[in-house]
Amino acid sequence: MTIRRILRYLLLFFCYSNLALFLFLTIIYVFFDSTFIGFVVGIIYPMIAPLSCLIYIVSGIIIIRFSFMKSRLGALTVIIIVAFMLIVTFIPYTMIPYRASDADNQLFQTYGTAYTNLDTANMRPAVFSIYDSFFGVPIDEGKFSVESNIRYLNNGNDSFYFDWYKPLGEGPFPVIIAIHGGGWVIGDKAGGNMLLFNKYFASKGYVVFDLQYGVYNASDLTEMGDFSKVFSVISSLITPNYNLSYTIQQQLENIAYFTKVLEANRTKYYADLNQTFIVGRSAGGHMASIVTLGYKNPLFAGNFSSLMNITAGIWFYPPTNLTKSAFFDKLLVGSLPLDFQYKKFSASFLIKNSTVVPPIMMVMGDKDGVVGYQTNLEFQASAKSLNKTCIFVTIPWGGHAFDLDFQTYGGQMSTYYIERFMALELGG
Amino acid sequence: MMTLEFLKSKKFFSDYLLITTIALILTLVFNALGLVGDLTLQTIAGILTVITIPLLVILVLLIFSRANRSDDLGRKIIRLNYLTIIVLCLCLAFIMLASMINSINPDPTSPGIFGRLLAVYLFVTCIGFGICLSQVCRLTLGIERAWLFTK
Repeated sequence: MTIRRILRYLLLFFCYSNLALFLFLTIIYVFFDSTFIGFVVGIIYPMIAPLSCLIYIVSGIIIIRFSFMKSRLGALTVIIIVAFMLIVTFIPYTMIPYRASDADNQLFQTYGTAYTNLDTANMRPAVFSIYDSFFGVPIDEGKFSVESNIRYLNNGNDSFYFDWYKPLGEGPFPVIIAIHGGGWVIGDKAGGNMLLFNKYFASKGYVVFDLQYGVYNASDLTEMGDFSKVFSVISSLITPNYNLSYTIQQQLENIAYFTKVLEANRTKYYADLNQTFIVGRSAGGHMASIVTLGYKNPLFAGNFSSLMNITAGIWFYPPTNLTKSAFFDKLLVGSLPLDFQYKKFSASFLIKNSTVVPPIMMVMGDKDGVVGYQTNLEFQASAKSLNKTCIFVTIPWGGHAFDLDFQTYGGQMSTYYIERFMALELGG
Repeated sequence: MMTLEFLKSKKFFSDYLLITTIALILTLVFNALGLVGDLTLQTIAGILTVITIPLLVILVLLIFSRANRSDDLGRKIIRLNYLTIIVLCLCLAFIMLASMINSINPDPTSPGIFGRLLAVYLFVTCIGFGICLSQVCRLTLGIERAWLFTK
């Protein structure tokens, strides 16, 4: 066998592997988005699909060239597979105008002409830009500075830190408190909490605090079987090395303690606590929902800063209704009976039982297999029936953590609407 | 099949080369102008990019089918063709990787401009190879032995 022949077989092997891998990912993404592997694929697929399409197109061409030049059926099969993958890759982009129009309508219905007359000169000019998806969303890094790993709490066992994104100037600036996700069992600030989002808003004049708040020790979830093992492995990679395990109540208390620290140091950190936005993703979105709806609720009396006024809550793919399970039975252990803890830590309960309900913006993908898209639509309907402001931005074919890569269409679209929503809540 | 015969003609190939070269140059120019930040220029650059990359892939396919493998120059053109398609795939894959790494970078104090610069560099490389390939083809079009045209 000549070297030329060996190289040809290697090339063919590479092309078949490519095609098989992308076909596998596409099928999982389209049909199995509610499974664990579907959740993982849903995160990475929108990021890799558009720019990888050339790889599988070329693979398909090479396969036809070397394997199916004399077999029409074989060539047709490869063409159909590649066409299917191409269609799946670009379907979400065709749906952006439809979803954007829905979000525009909601904002117009809520804010009327204030939305149409909003000064957007300093905001993202378009819902989606192909240019920015290639070269990144422009962020003027000269307009802010970052100080990382500032300690705000030491409970004797663990220390908790935050990163401070400070716009240039003396302030005080509107505040964004950013809460990371990770299913309450993993996660960290900075790289684990979309730091480009934090940088973008710091460059637009918001002082951003990105904090750690503790996680539940994944290895304690023995009844979760393989999930526990998977989370333990991931946890060791992307989670601070906490000595203690923190329940959801304790995690929330840490966040609440941070608001008190911020109140005491508001001048030092240029923070206008009267204009505070709570932003969180996934489990962080859940925490943001509890802070947004609970900070003035007697159930959380004494926990939060008394000076803080939450202008709005921005929840990315948040679980708004915790349903009974062995997982939550462990995580929700706290000061009240377990059944009531479920209610206390569910936005769907708090929105009906809180006198102060700041405006809410929820952002999630309609292919989110982790947090129920339908459940959150029902939450929005419930909020509307109570005459509360709740804007729901749907990212077309977005999975869980659709904005992990900030410059994808999910990251761009969410940023476009969030900055407008925040500006409107700040009075334009 | 007669209707597809024109695809094998020298005239079609020459016209296609011209269109691809113009599209590639315009893509490069508008993407560079887009750095100014103007939305219209960026939109044109984005549309041109989406049009140009498939044009380049089709050009590569045309060259594979029309270059003469029996001739030394033809073989060199095919090698350049392979190189272009590999560079194209790798550049797009690395642009994707750069943006992912930029997003999950654990250090908030590190400047994000390097990710953008890398993407610009890779994109220019990618388009540059395309322009190079189309120009090599255009310059060698007059050398009959390097190509297999019907007329």
